[in-house]
Amino acid sequence: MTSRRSLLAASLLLCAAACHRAARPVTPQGAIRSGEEAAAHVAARDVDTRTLRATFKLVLRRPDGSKEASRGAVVVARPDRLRLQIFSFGVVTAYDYTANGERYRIREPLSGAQRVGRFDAAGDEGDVLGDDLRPLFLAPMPSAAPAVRDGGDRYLVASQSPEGRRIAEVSKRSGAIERETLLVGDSPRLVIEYGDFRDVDGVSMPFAIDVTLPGRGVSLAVAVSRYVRNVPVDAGLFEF
Amino acid sequence: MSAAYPSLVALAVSLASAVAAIAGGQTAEPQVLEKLRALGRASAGVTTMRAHFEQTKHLSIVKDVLRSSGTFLLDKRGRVAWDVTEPEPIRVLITRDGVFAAGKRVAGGAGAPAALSPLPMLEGLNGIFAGVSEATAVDFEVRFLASDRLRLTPRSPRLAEWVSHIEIRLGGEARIPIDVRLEEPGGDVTEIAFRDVVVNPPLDDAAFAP
Repeated sequence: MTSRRSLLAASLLLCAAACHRAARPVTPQGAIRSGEEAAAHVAARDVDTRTLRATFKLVLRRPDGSKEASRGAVVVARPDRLRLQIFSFGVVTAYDYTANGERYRIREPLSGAQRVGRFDAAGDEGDVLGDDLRPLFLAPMPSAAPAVRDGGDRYLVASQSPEGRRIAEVSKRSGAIERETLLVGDSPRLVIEYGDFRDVDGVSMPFAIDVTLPGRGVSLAVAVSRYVRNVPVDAGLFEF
Repeated sequence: MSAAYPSLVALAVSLASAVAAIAGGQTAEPQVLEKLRALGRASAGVTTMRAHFEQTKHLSIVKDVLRSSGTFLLDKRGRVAWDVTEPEPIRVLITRDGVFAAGKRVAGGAGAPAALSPLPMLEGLNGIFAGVSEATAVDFEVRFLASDRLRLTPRSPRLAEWVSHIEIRLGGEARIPIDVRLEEPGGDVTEIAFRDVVVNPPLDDAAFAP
């Protein structure tokens, strides 16, 4: 894989990870008084969001210190459909990703490329997630009960799923999930920090999301401009 | 390379397209062709163009809009530059050699031009921005919605994968596009409005530098 492709893959992964929070809203509920309460809060966060739309601005910081700004949009319809678009040069669609059940399509209008495949077919092991962005947007249920430990001003809720281990840091004071770390083995692959929480239809959502890929020198700052929750989504958006 | 070479290539490509269109029975109605000829005569004197542009993209997946604006430069010999100023400064240059983007970095970075593959959508649109003519009917099925409004449908399946229809409103003595609406197969719609249009401003090579 070329460095350019690697960077693109990292960018998309970061974007996907950043939007993961958009698709899995946090609901601060005031002070968290116990580890059990923190674990229950993390487990319940997806329940109330059946569909979600978000538009956002993202700034990619490369290892050489340069930055590049783009905009994007994502729509999620649980349990197994998502669509993600990234726009460059103002309004030009540069990347268009669709997942529908076990099938996916990736379109890159800048190169005229289009790829259609199945998740259950052999993938590109060179990418962190290959072509499967579902774990980031359509999170699977944890495969075991979470482990919780006290982290001072926050609880650390660790859960295991097929995508790896995830540690959510829940503020004791506000109940907000302020940071998440995705690990493969003991190595952190993604660190996601959430801020600028605002009310969206009675649910507190993060409008500032910073994502870093430890050891790769790449990070992404996402500024969400708009969320829309639980409105009907046209099934045609996911057809291909 | 001699100066005549690009012209010969363009002529060959045009002839090949015309032959392919005729072979495929893709001809326009005589009255449509006559109108296009008249518009072609009106815009024949346009060699360069500069305009302020406002773009609005309607996103079908989120029912939201994106907006951008800046300066548009066109050289009818096959060069187009979009100097986007909002929301982020970036220069996009489209030539026969491809599409180049060299945005001003927010901070640091080499800032070297990034050569991208030709944008299929824009490959088919560059000619239109200079004005429509009889040749437009070679690449598009043309329908007049009004004397100053046309609706184009790509004949090429490749272009049709990215643009399903283009609506154009013409203006000025040169009858050049001042409002363009691009409809994509997926439902997204991009509206481009050109304002403060200057026809035939002096534009040297520096104006189209990446």
